[in-house]
Order: sequence, then C-alpha cells, then structure tokens
Amino acid sequence: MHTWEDVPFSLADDFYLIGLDGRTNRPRLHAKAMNLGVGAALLAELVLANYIRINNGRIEVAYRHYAPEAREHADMLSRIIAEPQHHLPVWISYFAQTATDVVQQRLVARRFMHVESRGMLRTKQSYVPVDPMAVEWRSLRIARVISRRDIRTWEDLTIIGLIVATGLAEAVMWDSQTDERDNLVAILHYLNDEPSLHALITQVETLIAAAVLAQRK
Amino acid sequence: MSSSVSSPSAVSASLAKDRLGVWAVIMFAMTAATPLLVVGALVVSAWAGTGVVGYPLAFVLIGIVLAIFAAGYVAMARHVVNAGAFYSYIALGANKALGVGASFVAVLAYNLLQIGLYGIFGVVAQGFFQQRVGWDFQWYWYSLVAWAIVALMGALRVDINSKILGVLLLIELVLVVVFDVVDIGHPAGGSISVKAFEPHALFPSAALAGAAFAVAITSFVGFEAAPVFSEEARHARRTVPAATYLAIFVMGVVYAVTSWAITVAVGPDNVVGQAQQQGPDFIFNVAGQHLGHATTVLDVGHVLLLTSIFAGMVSYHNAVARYSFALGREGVLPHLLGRTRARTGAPLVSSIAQSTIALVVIIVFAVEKWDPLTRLFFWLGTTGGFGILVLLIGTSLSVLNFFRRDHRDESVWSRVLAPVLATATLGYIMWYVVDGFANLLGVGSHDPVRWIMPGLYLAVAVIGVLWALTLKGAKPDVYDGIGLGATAGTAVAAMTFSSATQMPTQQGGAGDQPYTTYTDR
Repeated sequence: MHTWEDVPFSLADDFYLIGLDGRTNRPRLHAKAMNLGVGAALLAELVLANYIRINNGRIEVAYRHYAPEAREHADMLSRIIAEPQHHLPVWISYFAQTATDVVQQRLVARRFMHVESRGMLRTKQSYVPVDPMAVEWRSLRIARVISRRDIRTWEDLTIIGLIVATGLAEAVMWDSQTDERDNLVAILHYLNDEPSLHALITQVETLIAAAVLAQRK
Repeated sequence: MSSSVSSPSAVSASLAKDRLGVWAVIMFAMTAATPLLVVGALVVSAWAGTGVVGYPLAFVLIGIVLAIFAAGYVAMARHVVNAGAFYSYIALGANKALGVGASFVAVLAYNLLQIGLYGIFGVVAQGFFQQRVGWDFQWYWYSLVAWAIVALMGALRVDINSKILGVLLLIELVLVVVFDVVDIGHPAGGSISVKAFEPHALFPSAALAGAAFAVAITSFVGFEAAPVFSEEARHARRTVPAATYLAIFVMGVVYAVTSWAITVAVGPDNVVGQAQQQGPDFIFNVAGQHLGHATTVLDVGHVLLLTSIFAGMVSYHNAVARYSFALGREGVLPHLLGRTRARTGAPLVSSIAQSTIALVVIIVFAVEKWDPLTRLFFWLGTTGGFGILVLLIGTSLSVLNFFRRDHRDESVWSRVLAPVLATATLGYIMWYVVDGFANLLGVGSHDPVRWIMPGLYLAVAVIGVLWALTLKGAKPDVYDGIGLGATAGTAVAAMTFSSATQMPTQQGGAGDQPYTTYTDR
C-alpha cells in the first residue's frame, strides 16, 4: 500500500484539502474565505512557475512565449493578458469564483476525490475524498512542517501564509499558541524574499476582512 | 486609471453578477425604519417623560437636516474605504487622532443604543406574556433570553434574512398606516388638530425642544448604513445616495404622520397624560378601540414590536462588532478583536465583547431594580442618539475638510454648501440638546446625571485622541492605518515585518483609488 505522504501535490489542491475536515468532509473555512484562499493559491502556482509576478498591486506577466501546460493555468494566464487593467484584489476575487471547482475537478482527475450524486433526485453533486485519512494527512503534514520549522519549498511557505491569512492556522496547528506563533513568525519571515507571494497572501487577508466589514458572507 | 480599456471587461462583468442590486441596497437601508419601535415605544416614552407634544414637527425638521447632511455624506462615501463607519470619514477628512476619538464615541453610542433595547424588549415581552399566557416573570428574564439569542447569532454570524426583515417592515408599515387612518378618522372633539406640527408644541422652552430633538435624532439612527455597500453595490454612485435619501424620507414621513395621528385621536392636550398612564400599549389601545378588535390589534402590535426591537438589537450588535473588529484590525484596539472564526467568518471576539458588556448592564439593572423603561431604554437609547448627533457633526466637518483639498468632481452643494449648512444646524441642535439633557432624562437641572451622560462622550473622545497620539509616537505604522478598516495591517504583514510590499493605502499602489474589495473604480 502506498503512502500519501510521498505524493506531490499542487499548491491549490493542498490548500483546499487542508481546508477540509477529512472525517466529516465538511470545510473548516467559510465559503468566501475558502474560495479566496484557493483562488490566491492558483495564482501562486502561476507565480511559482514564473509566469506572473505581482508588482505594486497589479499582476505583471513575466513570461508569455509558451503557454503553461495545465489547461487551468493557460486559461488564467490568457485572461490576465487580455485584461491587464485590473488590480490584484479584482483578480483574486475573480478567480475565487471558480477556483474551488477547478481544484475539485483536478482532484477528481487525480483520483483523489470522486463525485457522488446526492439529494432526492440525485441531482446534487458533491466531491468526496477517496481516502479521508489522506485528506487529514495534508493538515497533519503542514502542522508538522510548522512545528519543526521544516520549510523546504515555496509551496509549503505559501500554504502556511494562506492558512494564517484565512484563519485556518488555529484549526491546523498542534501546540500552545505562543510556541506556534513563534514558529509562524520564523517561517513567514521568508516571505520577504518573495514579494509576489507576500502580496497575494496579504491581499487575501484584506479581502476576507473587507467581507466581514461589508457584512456579506 | 490610466490603462483602462473601453471594451467591456469579462472580469468586471463576471464580478458584477455577485454585486448587490439596487433593490437589495434600498431594502437594507429601509429596514432601519422601525415605526412601531420609534412611535409606539420611543415617542410614547418621550411624551410621558418630557411633556413635549410636538414630536411630529421634530421629525420633519430633523429629517430635513439629515437630508442636507446626507448630501456630503454620500458624496464622500465614494472616496472612503470602510465607508460604513463615521470614524473612517473623520480619520480621513480631519485627522487620525480625531478619528480614533470618534471611533470610541461610535462604539459607546451604538452600545448604548443596543443595550437600551433590552429594556423595552423586557417590558413589552413581560406585558405580552402576562396578558396572553399568564406568565409572571420579571422583565429581565425576557431580556436575558433575547440577549442569549443575539449573542449566539453574533458569535455564529447568523443574520436575520433581509427578506424576512423586509416582510416584517412591510407588515409594520401596513399596520401603522391602518392606525393612522383610523386615528385621523376618529379625531378627538370631532375636528382634526394640527397643533402637534405647530412650533409652540415643540418649543415650549429651549431645553424641552432640545430633549425632543435628541429623541428625533435617535429615531433616525440607521439611515447612515447604506454606504457600507459603496464598494459592492451595482451602480453604487446612484444606489447608495438613493437608498439613503429614501430611508430618511420614509422614516420622516412615517414617524411624523403616525405620531401626529395619535395626537389627533386623543387630542394634543391629552397625549402626555395618556402616554404616562398606558406606556408602550398606548399606540395600540388608541387604534384598537376604534378598530373593534382591541385585543387582536394589541397582540399583533406587540408581536411586531418585539420582532422589530429584536431586529434592532441584532443590527446594533453587528454594528458594534464590526466597529471593534475594524479597530482590532487596525491595531487601535487589541488585535484579538480583529480575529474571525474560520468556519463562519464571524468577528467572534468583538461579538463576545459586546455581548458581555450588554449582559453586565442587564444584570446591574436587574439587581439594582432600576426602571427598564425610563432608565434602560430611554436614557441609554437617547444618550446613544446624542452620540450619533456628535458623530454627524464631526462627519460633516470632515466632509468639508476632505473636499477642501481635492474637489474630486463633486458638486459645490455636496462638498461645501450642504456640509456647512448641516454642521451649523446640527451644531445648533446639539446646543439645544445639551441644554435640555436634564429634561430629556427627566432629572433635576442640578442632577449630575445630566452632565455625566453626555460627558461620557467627551471622556471617551479625549481618551481616544490621547491613545491615538500615544500610538503615533510608539507605533507609527498603526497610526497610519487608522480608518482604513480591512486594508490596515494584516496578521501576515505583522508576522513578516516586511517593508518590501506595502499594503495598498489611500494614495498607494498603482491606482489612485482605495481598493479593499473587488471593485475596479
């Protein structure tokens, strides 16, 4: 039996699974925060593939000679190229509208989730993890990374930034708050080296706070 | 924006679908109108307490003044982040230290308005359940039940569905119109008196008029809410002003006509005495005796009054929670207040803080056996309204100052004339109110309470300003973020201490507009 520990995960998929309670298959995050977080994670994938960077509150296309391999990335990039006038929060909010669907379909394609029909007429579809323990493992893994300060990839760093920004961190972390906070401060300090990721993550937090003030869910 | 394109944007179009429509914003603004609570409870208590008859005229006058105020208010809303909060205007238009002072005033005022409602809720519920079911509980048990539900809803971020609120308001309005027709159709002494609209009914003395103005201002609280949707309503430039003016207009007309109708039905000279005798049942009894189904009218009225009060409690609770959440985010108050619960997105700590304060006040009133109607409801409510008056003046001055530096394509009326006129008239009204505070509270003119209640605002404002100045020296970053709400510091930014990527601020970033949400402006 193979272990999920070794399976490489896309950043956005991983963030989405961390936001899911594997045992109940219910989100640990409210919908708006989940969508914004996953949307930003998809943009972060483009940042880490060096297709875009974020400068002065806007997305700049850094590389346009070859389209990205993954269809969702190519779609996003062509959209960004087509309408360069928008600010970062506009893009995050825009991709947030579809991000969760994109990620769920990716996870189905990778046979990590499957679709179940629900409801009286079997018309409602819900995405169910093939192995709930594997979902739980994503949270446990990132918690271990935090408590050991064992950051090896930009992807993990971005995920940790996003779980702090969305408020997921408390649900994920293990130890007493002060220890974990120190760990988070030590880890997130690395974000200073990657301003694009930093901008993405702080913007997600701002958008979530704005939603609280606007009193819309 | 220099790089905007003229072709329609698929991105903007897609986001626009998620925006609030015109009717949603107008409905939201309209639900601030609470005719039964204002006329049935507040005005009746005011008649009983102050002896002034002329509230109908007070509503008309205050309605006009607020409409003038609104011109500058909605104009500036187009240029402010966190536009739902008075203190954002003051932080941006005047200065940050005054903004913090104003934020403390606002938190106190909305708290008083919220907590005051537990008094009237308890009294009305006690009367209702005693008559209908024979229960013999003290008022505070009902208040505590309401408190628990409000606290739970706040903590779980469960809002009352706006459609339900809309339907309740509609039923309330229908009921009030029926009352008005019946009242005016059965005038005391056979002829319709307009005495309640005559100046001497409102101005028996300057001090008494001041008390009446405070009540009228309190009645209109909620008209200021529509700009909270400045950034996410469709056609916000037109929708938000329209919703604001419409709310003021409907409130003014409904409150003035309904309170006048009662004076017609019982006679202007009998209103004060009857209000003292009958309390919150007064408005229902007057109409009920002519409608022929007195008990049914009373029951329906009571239920609607209770739901209306409850909706007000939830709404003010959320207002306080949002205010303290914003202040927590900005770092003005402890960061803890700026935390949300992941699963619900509720500003949990802020919500619990407000609920705790309310609980303490209810318990103190219960233990001390203070009167829930005159003290808890009327004192706290009208003192809360006075706080809003203070904020209106501060906001008007800030609007004036804000557009002094940059006209931003707003009209002379919106940016100069209306704010000047509003400041002058509201200032004059405030002078009246302070003068008449003893009459408002129904205490002797030398009773220290007449100074303590309005003085609370001065105290918290001074504390706020001093605290802001302390922050300016100790934490300049925090000081710079005052009034920016969601765009102020984030937890991630605080943890990374980065100077490489500044948060977008008012003038920052590539654009020339603030951008908290997805609006491209």
